[in-house]
Amino acid sequence: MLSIEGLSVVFGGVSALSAVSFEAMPGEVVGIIGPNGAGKTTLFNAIMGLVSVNSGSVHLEGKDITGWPSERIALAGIQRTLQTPQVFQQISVMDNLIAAGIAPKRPILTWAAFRLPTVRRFEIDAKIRAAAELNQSLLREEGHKLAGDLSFGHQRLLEIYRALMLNPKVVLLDEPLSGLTTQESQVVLELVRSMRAAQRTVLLVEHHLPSVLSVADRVVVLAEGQVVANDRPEVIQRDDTVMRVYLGEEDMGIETTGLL
Amino acid sequence: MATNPRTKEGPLSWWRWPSLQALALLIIAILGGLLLGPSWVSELTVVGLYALTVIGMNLFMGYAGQVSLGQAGFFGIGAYSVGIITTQYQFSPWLGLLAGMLIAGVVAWLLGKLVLKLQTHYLALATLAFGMIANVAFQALSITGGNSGLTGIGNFSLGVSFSNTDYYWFVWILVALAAWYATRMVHSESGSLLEAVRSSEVATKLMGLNPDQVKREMFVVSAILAALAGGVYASWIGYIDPTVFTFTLSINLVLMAVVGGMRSVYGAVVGVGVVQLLGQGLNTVGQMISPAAGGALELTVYGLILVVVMMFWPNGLITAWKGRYRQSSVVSPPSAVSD
Repeated sequence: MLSIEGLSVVFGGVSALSAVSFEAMPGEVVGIIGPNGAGKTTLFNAIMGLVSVNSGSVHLEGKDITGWPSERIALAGIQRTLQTPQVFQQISVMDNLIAAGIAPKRPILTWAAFRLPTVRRFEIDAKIRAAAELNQSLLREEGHKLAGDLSFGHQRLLEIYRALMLNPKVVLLDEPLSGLTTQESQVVLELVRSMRAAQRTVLLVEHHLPSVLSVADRVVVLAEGQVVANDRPEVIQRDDTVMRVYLGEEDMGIETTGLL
Repeated sequence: MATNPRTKEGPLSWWRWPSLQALALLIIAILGGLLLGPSWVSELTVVGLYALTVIGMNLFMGYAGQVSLGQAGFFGIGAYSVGIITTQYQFSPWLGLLAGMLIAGVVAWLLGKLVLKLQTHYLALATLAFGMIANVAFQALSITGGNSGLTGIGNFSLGVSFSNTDYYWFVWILVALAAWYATRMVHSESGSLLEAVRSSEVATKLMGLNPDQVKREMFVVSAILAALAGGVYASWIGYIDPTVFTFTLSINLVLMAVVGGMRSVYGAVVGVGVVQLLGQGLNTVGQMISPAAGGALELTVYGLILVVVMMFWPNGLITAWKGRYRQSSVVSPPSAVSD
């Protein structure tokens, strides 16, 4: 379980997050919506240890992980993807996945050059897991391609597959649908559902409201760094305050849903 | 453009096997040694020593994506270790060589703790400062012989003392071993982490690995290889003074790395060869025109080479050659296509 309590982040006197609290269970998909500048990405960065937290705490399965370095938080079981996908461009898609299988072991590369059995063992393990993951993925035909040569949408997918190589308990997806084709978006939403089935916790920041409402079990609405609503999607949908927060700022594809 | 060494299925094509490539390099070196005259052998010994240094730099700079402008400092540490141990203490130069590599490794490890958190330009300046401090230390200390340096540095010997040709063999065996080590590392599964660090430090952290660990290891490796080259250099030449291990040497090493292609192990050999031999040739031509013009012409042309290479083959000569059949793909961050 991921539990966030009274989380506040201040950037140079400006409050980006103030006293944000909510919980997310294993096997639960929590949509996080709100206008630009509401603090969604800051929230992810704060959970992940990429920005320093002024007050409040983040607990993962009862363990206080606030203030831990990002790599330690990653090892504890939280993964996030970034708005601009960060794939390792000059190695193959397969090697991107392998890298994610090996990195947690923090190998000495010199031992790898000499193929020492200690390193070799988890290299082979990572290779097998990467091949299995690749085979089930949309990128199965592109395993040998350089990651930098993939289309934008496929780079996004690769980043998600790479995050899953670490077998995370919690996955933070930062606008995973933006820039994707309809078909790719379906694949991502399907992935989110399978993460839920695998008892992972998913936090989903996404501008495309219909997608969030269709996949999320619960929706947290952020505005100006504060939680203004936290409820089931169908309740959020009928909430006037929420819709005003949204429509007041910009139209986030709401018209595409017809009424809302 | 970058080539993809491993296919999905795994094994490298046979001509990319690290052992075969290293062996091929060794065979070329042996043929060179047998066929070429003594002045060429000396010239190619220098090429080999620099290549050894640049192979390490390519791991740190090309593959791990960092910058070092202070490699002359590590080269000097290796050289002075052999120099001091054989002239001040009468120990074996082999011991000096090991000591130099050890000291350089420890210095790089400590320095890495301090400076590797810095990003590109700042890191470059920090390593530049290290190189300068090392040079000042070589000048100022009495144990290093101050400005007059050290003379009468001991020869390596294995039963018999090394001849000029023996140094040539020794150096190129070391180059082949270093190239073997570097290609094996780059092509290993764990070698993918080098590109992870170069490509995105944030994404590397998100995989649970602190990128500083990888950077520091490559920095230490590059320092040890530079010290190894420096130690062999000192013993081969027989005398050293601080004017050898200057900022100019560091810059020349970077130039060689860039010309050959920083993301290529054998690019190191090509880059050093092109820069060094062209430089020597021009020096000779310059001397014929006017005795004073030699050095100046060499420097001018180094500048020109750098400009031309950056303009036409920004990824280095060997990478350009490797990519000649391949549709080049421009390495750029993916554009933020968002709604």
